[in-house]
Amino acid sequence: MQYKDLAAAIIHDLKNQLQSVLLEGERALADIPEQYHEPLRPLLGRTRRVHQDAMQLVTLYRLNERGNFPSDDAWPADTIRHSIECFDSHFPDVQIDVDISGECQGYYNDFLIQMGISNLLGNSAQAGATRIQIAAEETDQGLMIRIRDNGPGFPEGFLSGDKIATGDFETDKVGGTGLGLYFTQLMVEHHSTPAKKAEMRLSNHGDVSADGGAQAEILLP
Amino acid sequence: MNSAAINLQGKRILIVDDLVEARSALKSMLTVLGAENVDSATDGREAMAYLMEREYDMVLSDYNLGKGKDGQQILEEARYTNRLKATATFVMITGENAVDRVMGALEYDPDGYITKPFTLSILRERLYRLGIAKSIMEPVNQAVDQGKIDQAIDLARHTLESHPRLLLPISRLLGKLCLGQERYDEALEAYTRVLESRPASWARLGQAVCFHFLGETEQAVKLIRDTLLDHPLYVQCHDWLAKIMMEQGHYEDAQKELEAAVGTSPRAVLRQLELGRLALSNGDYSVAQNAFEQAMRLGRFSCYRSSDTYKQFVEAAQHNLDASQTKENRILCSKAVRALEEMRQEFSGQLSVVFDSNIAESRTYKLVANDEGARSSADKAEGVLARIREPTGEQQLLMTEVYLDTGQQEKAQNMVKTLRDKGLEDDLMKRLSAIENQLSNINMREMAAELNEKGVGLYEKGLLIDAIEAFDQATRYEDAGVSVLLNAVQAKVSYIEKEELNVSQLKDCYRLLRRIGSVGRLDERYDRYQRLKNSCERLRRSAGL
Repeated sequence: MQYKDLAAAIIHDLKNQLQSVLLEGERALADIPEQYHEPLRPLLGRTRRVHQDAMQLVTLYRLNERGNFPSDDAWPADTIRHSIECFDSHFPDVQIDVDISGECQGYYNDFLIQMGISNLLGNSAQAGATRIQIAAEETDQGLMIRIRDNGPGFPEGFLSGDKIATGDFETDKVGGTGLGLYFTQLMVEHHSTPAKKAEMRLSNHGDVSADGGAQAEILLP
Repeated sequence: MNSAAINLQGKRILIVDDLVEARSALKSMLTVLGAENVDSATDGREAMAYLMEREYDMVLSDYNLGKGKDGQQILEEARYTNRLKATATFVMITGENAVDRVMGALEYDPDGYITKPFTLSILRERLYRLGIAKSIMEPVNQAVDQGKIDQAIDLARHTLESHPRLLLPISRLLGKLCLGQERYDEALEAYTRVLESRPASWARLGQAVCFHFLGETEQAVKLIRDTLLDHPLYVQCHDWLAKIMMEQGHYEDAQKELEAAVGTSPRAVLRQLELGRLALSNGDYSVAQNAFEQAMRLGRFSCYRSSDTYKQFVEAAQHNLDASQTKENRILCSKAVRALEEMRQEFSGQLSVVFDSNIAESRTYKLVANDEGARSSADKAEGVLARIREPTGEQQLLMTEVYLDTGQQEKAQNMVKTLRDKGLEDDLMKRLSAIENQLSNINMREMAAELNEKGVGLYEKGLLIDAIEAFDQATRYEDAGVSVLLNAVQAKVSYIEKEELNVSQLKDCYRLLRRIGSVGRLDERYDRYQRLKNSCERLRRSAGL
């Protein structure tokens, strides 16, 4: 066994353990009277976040090892609801509006896109957004998922696109903005086909509350 | 949105997971969704027992079930044994790291997947989406359940026309049904239509399979290899490559493909069996032994359990056994014997299987030079054969061969006679002739031994001329051993020394010594050989030759 395989196995176990901690925590929460929930919530919130990080690591490893995340029929309404479910418990104060028809259908790996969108939502909230709008539609080019917030927008450097791709991040911020975007970009690009590229476009035209904000558009062929 | 629109009331549901928390969590979720009849199984064995007993509308199985069968095998068995109707839904639950292993099966594909971890709402939505597709495809699946496949194909076409958004599930079913009916052009069309908009690996493999059956094998191989580049864990690609290689007579390449498939997905019984058979015929006995061993282990509680697997395992193991007293030999021998014991227990009602197992056991013991064991198993085989009302020629031949192996020539001789009278098919006749040859060689060896004994008796009485004649006859047999040859030399040397210097006898001595060749220093006959050689030298010199 090589070091990287060993590392992957350890991270995998870490992720499973955290999953169990979360399940047990939620079960415990259900048994404990409401008035004691308050101090436990951040604990679970953090655990959920670490769990998600571990999931990202495992996923990254597999993307790097040419693991295959097969695409299948998928429904953005479902996918995004799950991303929001994860997100809600971290940032209960952020309001999210979803405008996606239940019929809207795509062809992608649900797991990857769900994780990618969770990243984007987390990004927005950490940057200070209080409202996020998510829409999806089938277009001639493929499925388009659009996420806008009312936060301060992406830092200038991100919009060139080069920075994300070269992995030159700012990781000093709490929450490591750049890394999350980079992950999402990788997950999106995994959906490229020989004929059409899957891409994520970042801009600052998002206009949830008429005061600017960040916008991410994901196109899945 | 659609979230509440699912009700599992009245559905009979089976859940399979090896972890108790996962089972209870899933069960309570299903209860929230209205389910009342939910059975839980902890492993493949229990799941199959439930499936054999009851008819389920839905099965939700974890893919990775720890030891034993995985979810894919449960699905295969359930469909293979027709215990799960086409109209019933099978949902595979997978860890995020196993998805690509379970999405490829062309023939036995689940209706849907759920990736762990999932919440109630994820489950609800998945089941809702699946329910929609399944109900639209219901008439097609009903036709499949009734065995009306051509009608199912027509229905599937119509359904696709009216529900283009179900392109993937309907095309997948359509392709599978057309392949099964050998309607390759139509299967190809179904897969190609998918690939126009969705680069699904299964559609590429399906397309390749069609190309192959339509005679475009080169194109098929290229397509499969390309698919494997994108999707390296797609084991069914290796399976199909192996199948194609075998048809083309490239057996070693075929074995490599199957080994690759088994490396990725080691739990499929049929694949292990296929690999075992191929490796056995390729003479790669260690691969064969290992594959059959896995098949034996995995097949133990499955519908693929078969006495042949045990037999083949032992056959492969026999090739890897020899008479040397090594630890490896001992372990392998006892493994083989254990397998045969299990075979007798599992199939105790079938005399022919019990017989085969005793025969194989006798041979195994013979190979490790355990003559006593070989004889005892031969006796057991004999007892079983006597209880078989009408033994086949093959069984009698096997018995005869084992008689020979265990030194029971007379019984072998009798059986040969019986078989000659009975008459056998050509290939069995060849084996019979081989046995007869062996028997006559044994007879000759015995004759030689008898003559030798006679010679020794005459020599001891001092009747040298008669002794020489007996030894001469004995040494005429090709198989005459070193001792016999040395006895002949000694009789001739004694004659020359005591009676007359007979040159032709002396020449005989040299001829016999040459036939013996060299005798090693550590050989117990070395001294005698040297002494006689020196005597001959002395006699030659005194004869002035």
